[in-house]
Amino acid sequence: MGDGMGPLQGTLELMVLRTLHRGGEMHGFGILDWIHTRTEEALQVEDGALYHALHRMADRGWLERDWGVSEKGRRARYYRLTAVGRKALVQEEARWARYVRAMGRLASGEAG
Amino acid sequence: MREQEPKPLSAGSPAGPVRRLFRLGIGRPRPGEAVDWEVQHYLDEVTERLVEEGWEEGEARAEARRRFGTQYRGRMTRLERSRRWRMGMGMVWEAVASGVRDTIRSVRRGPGMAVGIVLTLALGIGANAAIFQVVDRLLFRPPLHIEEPDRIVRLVFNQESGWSQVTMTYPDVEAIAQASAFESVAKIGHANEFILGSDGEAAPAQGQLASSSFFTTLGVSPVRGRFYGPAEDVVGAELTAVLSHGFWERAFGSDPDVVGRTVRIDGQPTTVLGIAPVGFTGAGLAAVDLWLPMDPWNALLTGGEEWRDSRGWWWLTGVARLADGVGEEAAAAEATALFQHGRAETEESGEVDTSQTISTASLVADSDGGRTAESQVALWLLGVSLAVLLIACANVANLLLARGARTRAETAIRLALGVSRVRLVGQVVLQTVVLALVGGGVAVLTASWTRELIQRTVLPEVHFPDVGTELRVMVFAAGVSILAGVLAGVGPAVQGVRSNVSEDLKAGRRGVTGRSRVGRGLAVFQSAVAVVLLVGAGLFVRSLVEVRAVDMGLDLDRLALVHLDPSATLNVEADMSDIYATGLERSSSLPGVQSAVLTTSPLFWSFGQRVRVPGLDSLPKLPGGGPYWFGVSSGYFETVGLAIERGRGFEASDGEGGTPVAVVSRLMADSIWGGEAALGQCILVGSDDDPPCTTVVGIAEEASRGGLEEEPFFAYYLPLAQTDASPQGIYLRAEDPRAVAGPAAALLRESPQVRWATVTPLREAMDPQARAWRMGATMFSVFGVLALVVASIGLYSLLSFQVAQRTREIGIRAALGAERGQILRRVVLDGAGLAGLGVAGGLLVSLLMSPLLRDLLFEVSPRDPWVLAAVAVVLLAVALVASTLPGLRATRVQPTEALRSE
Repeated sequence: MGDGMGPLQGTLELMVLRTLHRGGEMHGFGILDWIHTRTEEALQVEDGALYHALHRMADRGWLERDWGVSEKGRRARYYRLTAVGRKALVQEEARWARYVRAMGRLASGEAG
Repeated sequence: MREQEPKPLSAGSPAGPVRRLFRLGIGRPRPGEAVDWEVQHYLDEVTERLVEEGWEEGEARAEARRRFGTQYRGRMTRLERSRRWRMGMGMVWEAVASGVRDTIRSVRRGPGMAVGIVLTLALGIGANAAIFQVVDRLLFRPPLHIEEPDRIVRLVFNQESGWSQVTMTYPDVEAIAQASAFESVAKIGHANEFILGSDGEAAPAQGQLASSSFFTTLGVSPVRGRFYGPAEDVVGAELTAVLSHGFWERAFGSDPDVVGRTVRIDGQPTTVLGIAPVGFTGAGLAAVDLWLPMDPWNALLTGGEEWRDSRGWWWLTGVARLADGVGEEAAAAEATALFQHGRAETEESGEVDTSQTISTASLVADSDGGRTAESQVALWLLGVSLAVLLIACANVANLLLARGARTRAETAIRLALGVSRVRLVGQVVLQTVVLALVGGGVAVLTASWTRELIQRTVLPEVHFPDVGTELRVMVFAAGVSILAGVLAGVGPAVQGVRSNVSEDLKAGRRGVTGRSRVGRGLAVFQSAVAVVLLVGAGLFVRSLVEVRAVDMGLDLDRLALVHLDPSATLNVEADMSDIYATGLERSSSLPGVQSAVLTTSPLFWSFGQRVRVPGLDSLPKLPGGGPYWFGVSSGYFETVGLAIERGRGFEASDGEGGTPVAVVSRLMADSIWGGEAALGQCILVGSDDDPPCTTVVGIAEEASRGGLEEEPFFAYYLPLAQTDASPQGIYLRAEDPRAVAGPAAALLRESPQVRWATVTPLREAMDPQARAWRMGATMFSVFGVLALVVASIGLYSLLSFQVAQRTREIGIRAALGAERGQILRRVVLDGAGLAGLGVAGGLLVSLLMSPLLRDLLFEVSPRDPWVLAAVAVVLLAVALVASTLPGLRATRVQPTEALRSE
């Protein structure tokens, strides 16, 4: 698990990008909660993997982050998309679409 | 980008309250802390949810941890840390890049000044880098090519009295070598001159006897062939040798076929087994040309094997490799036990003498506490080179001040625009540092060359392997460069921004006199440094003069000493007396040689022999030892220039069958017989019970045995022909001994009987004793004069600048009727005043440092008033000249022009 997740890791990152695109500025737990709810708990990774993904993406310059206090009064780190991140979102979505098409063709026996 | 700003989520979204209430006003947490805070937030949220679902608090927290997973915290921390580091480096890089850009821009504007700064600092940094290499090698590093040098120790013999020495006896080291604390122990003899005679050509070589364990202990490997092993290191084995790399290049032109060849060493056919790596000098730093297996060579050289068991013959040193994991203390304890046990066995009483112990010392020179003369010299050089660096920095600061004065208006504008002072200072300092680093680069490129220069003139005995410029030298040079850049840049930079914006803008292109305070300080400082160095130079020069003026008795400047090396002639069936007779005959015939005589005791050699005076129980004991005797051929006193004060010297008639005669030294005659009464007295020479009476026929003036400072001793001379001794040297008297030395050696070597000869002018033979002072005199003089030049240029430019600044004021004075003389006097007195302050400061520092110098001088007080006075006069005189030129310019200021120029 972790770094070598291949398509799954890409999927996780795409989910984060989409979530932040919709939600604007969110802290890590917020993103996690949103994804869990939307995917109906289908994401079979440990929660730490999502945090790790957030850090990787921040390091890559896709996200920027800042410390703040949540509405529950807790110290939390907030993430939002950067311009680079938004470009990445477009690319990742395109790649995801290709992937889904390929999988779809494979599943329905049209490949060849 | 604006439209992408956070939008509020729709109400009732499952994400719940995720919006940030306010920014947290905290400093940046450390990487680990940031991750902890974030994880903590996750755990708190999840635990809260679970508790709401009915979980028990503790279990809920454990479950939250499980859900997070164990592997992410570390990964995130590492990621965060590396990001921080990259950002930090980015900022540093940005700063450096902008510094370099600034520097390039200002170099374009004034390339001359940049070149000046770079060269000035290159000089200062170069001197330091070169001397660092020397000091580093002498004091801080083990010799080259030693494997794991930390585990190599020198064996040291200690007595209860506090005496300690590294010289030991063969059987003692053998006994210590049994210690389990040592992996192996090497026995190393002192380096001696051997004669390498191959195909009829003879050349001297420094040979060192070393046991076969020498190479394995140090862990060195040959570059060609092999080293000798235990089989070659036994008495009777065929003789073998290993060549140093340098000697292989020098004597054999790096001929690879020399390995396996048989050469003659001291006349003995010897097989060359291998070549040591470049720069390998064994356990010490002196250059060695040959390593010879200890046992067979020692048997040959001493003509026996007495050394093997003799515990009275201290002639070799022991170097050991500690066994893995053994500490030096444990090793020393075991070595001491074995040493004492070994000695007790040979004592008749069998008692263990616990007053003698063995300790260990590192191969690095400084750590055994015993500083060699070379390392002291090197430390002084470090001080001198530091002074040079300071002067260089002061000079660069001067240049920067001048530029700062020119760009004053520009600086004022930038300040007015709100550029912070700190930033402006930083820019100037950074620029200076960049230029200093360029200077450091130049210094490193020339470092091997400078080092060789310094080493040749100053430390010829120490062998510096030619391994190029090492990384640590570059690091040192870089460090010194940065230091020099900051030192030189900070003063002028601060001075540059310490100004009143509006005033400076008003002053405009006229500039202001703000440069003066720092500039004047620098002028004083430079004069002071110059004074200190010149005082050092003066003291060393005076020492050197005193050394040369020492009355040795012998005419050092008219004599050359010939040695005919006995070892080179081992293969010739001839008696040393015959060889020397031939040598005397040949060298007397050489044009330019006025006379030649034989002696048994040339300079540096002296022999005692029992002598009695009838009627006296014993002769007075003198601190210089003796009495020493000299067997000399006829004409000796005239040739060497010793005056016969009473009586006569030796004549040809004082031959083998003649009446035994002697000449005694003045001190001997005075102390025993009360002077002239000595003539005709009888002395009994030799340890026979009843030697014949030898009649004193002359009293000679005192002669030195070769040392500069000698305690008094008795000396007496006998005609060589009336003794059994063989001569050890020939003195040649010539108008110019240097000129005859070469031809004499060549002529002597042509003789098949003599074969090997060295001819040394006596002045040169005395030279090593004067080296410390000559080195001090050279270094301090060169740098002292340099400092003087720099200081006078500094003073000159400062005063010129001030005159230029005050053109208007001077013009007004002139217009008001001031005479030219008055104007000149003002400027010159100003300059002289600054120089005077520098002289006072410099003399004070010199006086404070005088206790440190005392031991380094020869019969000169470190507070020698003549030297101090002379330096003060020279510096003030130079300062007057340097101030007169700007002063004269001031007198040429035309009142009308000066006023119109505004």
